[in-house]
Amino acid sequence: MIELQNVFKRLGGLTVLDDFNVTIKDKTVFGLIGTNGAGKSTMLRCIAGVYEVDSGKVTIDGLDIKNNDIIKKNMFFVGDDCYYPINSTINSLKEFYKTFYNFDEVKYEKYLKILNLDPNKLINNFSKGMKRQVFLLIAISLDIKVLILDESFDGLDPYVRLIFKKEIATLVEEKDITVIISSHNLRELEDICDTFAIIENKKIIVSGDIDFSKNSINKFQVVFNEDLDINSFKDLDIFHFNKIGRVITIVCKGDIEYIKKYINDKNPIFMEILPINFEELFIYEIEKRR
Amino acid sequence: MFLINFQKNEPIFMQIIKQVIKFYEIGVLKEGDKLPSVRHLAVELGVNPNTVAKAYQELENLQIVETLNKKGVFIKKINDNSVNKSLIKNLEILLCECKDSNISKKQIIDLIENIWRD
Repeated sequence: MIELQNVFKRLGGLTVLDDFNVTIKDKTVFGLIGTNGAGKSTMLRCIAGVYEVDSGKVTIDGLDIKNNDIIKKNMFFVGDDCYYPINSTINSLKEFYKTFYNFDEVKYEKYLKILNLDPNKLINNFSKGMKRQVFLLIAISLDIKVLILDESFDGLDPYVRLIFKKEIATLVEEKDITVIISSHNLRELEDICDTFAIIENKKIIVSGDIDFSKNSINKFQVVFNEDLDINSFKDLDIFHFNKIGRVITIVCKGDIEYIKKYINDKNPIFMEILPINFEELFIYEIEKRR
Repeated sequence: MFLINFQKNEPIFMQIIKQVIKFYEIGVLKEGDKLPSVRHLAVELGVNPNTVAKAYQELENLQIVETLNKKGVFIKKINDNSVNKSLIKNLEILLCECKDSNISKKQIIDLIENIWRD
């Protein structure tokens, strides 16, 4: 279990993480989302040990990550910008990482072929997307316990994305690893992440199981004979209220049966209940707080 | 292996459950067959892993599959009882939807009489 407790982190005079708390359980794919500049990369770098926190604790299974070589040997961080030694080829990069980690050559060769990458060409000449592929290729070939991907899926083509998602699914199921992925593309996270957290304004504002959180918020499309407005629905935990003509759309949180009854008691001529997707969950949670 | 219709109002986990049962009924899935793992099916269908887990959990409650630790989820020897339990559960959900849409009880009972007439 990875925990950040009461973490403060300042960068360049700005507080980026403010009394920040998050728990990431084992054997999960954890999706980290947030608006631009919210603190996603900073949080991930604090977990990876790239940044040292100003105060508070970052622990894995209760142990502080600071200067813990064993933890570092079992963790790999793929940043959104790829750094590599000058004149690296994929093979030379592989040899470089082999000095720090246990490496699965068989898997590496297998995916090298599938991705159709030339291991002897200079990485410098690769496109941005291909560079990302190189680092993901290395990441999945390592024998580690924690994999941190900072926007690594953004910019990959759908075919390659699917390949890596399947391998990550296998790694979590068979090797019990924990994966933390940050992304702006929520639709991409939906089929791979089972837990998530939303960062906004230097803190975690929502976290939990993706499915549970989506199901606890529903969209109701209702039509009434009378002219009702948002005040008629004061008792509901409303995230979004929209009225176009006579069609009212209410997005609210709570027990679906209770809300159905509440709305039915106002005698609608039409009511439809729709589930929301991960992207909508994010938008509504942010909207509510702004 | 399975197909999800996202446009339908029917919950995704329900669609998965129904297809597993259908495949068993037509012999595509047999006792002892292994279902795809939760995460792999999730990636394949483009749905959340928790949704697949929910479907598999419900299938286990209906005694249609069993989870063998670390090995996976397998089709059990299905007796007609389990399939029937699922059919009745589906009917219950559909009847609630009819009630919500203000279809009268009489209409439903007439329909039942019609079907059971022979």
